[in-house]
Amino acid sequence: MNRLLKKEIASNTIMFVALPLSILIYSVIMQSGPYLPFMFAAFMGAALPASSVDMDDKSGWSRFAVSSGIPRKTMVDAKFMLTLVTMSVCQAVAFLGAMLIVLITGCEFSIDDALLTIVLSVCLGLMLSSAALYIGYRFKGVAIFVVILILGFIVTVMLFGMQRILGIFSDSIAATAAVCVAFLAVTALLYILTLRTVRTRDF
Amino acid sequence: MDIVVSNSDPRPIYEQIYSQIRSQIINGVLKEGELLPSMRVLAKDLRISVITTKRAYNDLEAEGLITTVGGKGCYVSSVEPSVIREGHLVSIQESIRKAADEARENGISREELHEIVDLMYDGD
Amino acid sequence: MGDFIVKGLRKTYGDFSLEIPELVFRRGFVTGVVGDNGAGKTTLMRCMTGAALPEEGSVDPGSPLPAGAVFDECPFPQEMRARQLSSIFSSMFDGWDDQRFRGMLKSFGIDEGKKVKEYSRGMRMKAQVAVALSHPTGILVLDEPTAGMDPAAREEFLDCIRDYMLDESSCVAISSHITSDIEKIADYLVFLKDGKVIIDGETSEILSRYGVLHAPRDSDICGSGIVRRRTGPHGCDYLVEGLEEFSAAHPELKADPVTLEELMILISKGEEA
Repeated sequence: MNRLLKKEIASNTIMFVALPLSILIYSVIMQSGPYLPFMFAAFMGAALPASSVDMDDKSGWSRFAVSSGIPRKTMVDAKFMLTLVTMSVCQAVAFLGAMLIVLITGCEFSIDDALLTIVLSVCLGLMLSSAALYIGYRFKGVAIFVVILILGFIVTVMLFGMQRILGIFSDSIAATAAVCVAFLAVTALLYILTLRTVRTRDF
Repeated sequence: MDIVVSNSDPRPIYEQIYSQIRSQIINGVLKEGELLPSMRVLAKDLRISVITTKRAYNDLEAEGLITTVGGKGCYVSSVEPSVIREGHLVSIQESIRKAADEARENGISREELHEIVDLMYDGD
Repeated sequence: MGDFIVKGLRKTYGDFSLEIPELVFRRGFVTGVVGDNGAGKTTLMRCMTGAALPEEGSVDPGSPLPAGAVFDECPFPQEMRARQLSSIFSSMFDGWDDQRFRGMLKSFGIDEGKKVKEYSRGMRMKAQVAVALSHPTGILVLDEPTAGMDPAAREEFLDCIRDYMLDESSCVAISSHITSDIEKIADYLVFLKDGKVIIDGETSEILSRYGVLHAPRDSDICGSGIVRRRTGPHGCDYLVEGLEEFSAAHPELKADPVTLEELMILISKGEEA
């Protein structure tokens, strides 16, 4: 098992409470339909890796881990595993949020549309998280990235509205597949770039 | 093993250790075959550098006073009676030098000094 | 297991360049690294542990085991207590000795129920030391580990190092501004100035090689052996290299053996004479 995974989970447990809570609360407040929570979870989930890289740098943990003989690749892998765990938790909570909204507003809930949204959200979330990790390791000031994320989300949803976005994708499986593959490809690229950055930078 | 080192002593620390152990061996305080603390343990206890204790032990070994058995430590070697005797003679000479100096400086004659030596030798 | 050897090292940050053709940290001994702030001590230590990557040069740790590093900030997650720290480190390090870790925390007076963010400055440093000593390491790299500790805590810390050194395969590199600590614990000394090694050798040999001569302010003493001069408000200090020869040649000038602190000040602040 990855040597740093325990640390990643243990030092971020607060976020594992705060994030789900914010997803639930946001979903209920916005009441923009039962599919929004999934999208929101994708954006919010990316905030965790971003802040964890930032905190590790500031506290000197990264320097400590590297100095203590932990391979740099292990450090990056642990962060990506954290991303996966975070994504899973956030999407699961989003599902709860969706159910809550259905309960409260009694709106329609199509399994097909939900699945579509989940798949898109997960792929998008993974890409955003990877970007957060890459930016976090390469540059300072990841907080800016997080702000951009949240703003980007608000703007996207406001401009298009969830139903319209869904409509575009549910019409074409091919479009959905293409977008998801693209997201995942960028994620893979970002993983490689992050590895390269971490391997060549000082701590 | 009782060793005391002092920074106010003009002699280097390794020399202080060397001479204290040496006299303890010659005077029989440290017995033949006795295991000495390792130079690292001694360095720790005295709060000094390992290099210092190493030098002292090396000097003692060069003189044949101790032997290192690999893996086990340093043992006090058997000391020849002539060496012990020599040690005593040196120590006695030093004591008598002090007495002689004091006598000379205070106008006490050589004969008076001899008398005192005889008296002391016969025991009170 | 061999010595820890730094070879052909070059690490540049903007104007500053650390350049070390060769530096050996002998196994079985403590090597003290001294120098001003900005002399390159921390850079050297970061290169030694692999945290910083030099442009040129190699670091041969002389041991397959990882380094135990103590730097100035405490890197542990702030919300954690001893038990959680144990859990993390046992996962991170091969051969993690939890009993030893808990025992050391206890003898350092660190309450197991306290969160890291509640530790005092001294506790933070001691906790790092406890971690470094609780798993097998090839070298201890300690960068200003006693900064902020009171004298009793510092002595406790030095005793920890002495204990660690009972094993002849131990190797320690320690930097500090507290020259009295370095004098007490370092078998060997490395003097860094402006990114270069200017003195390198046995501590006792260096401290007996150099002497200091106190003279009146307007004095102008020259001679072979005088290497540095520093003028202060009350007088002039001269650094003498080769104390024995100098004192023999100039018995009228009373040169005293130098302390590490005086040596450091004269080298960094004194002018060449």
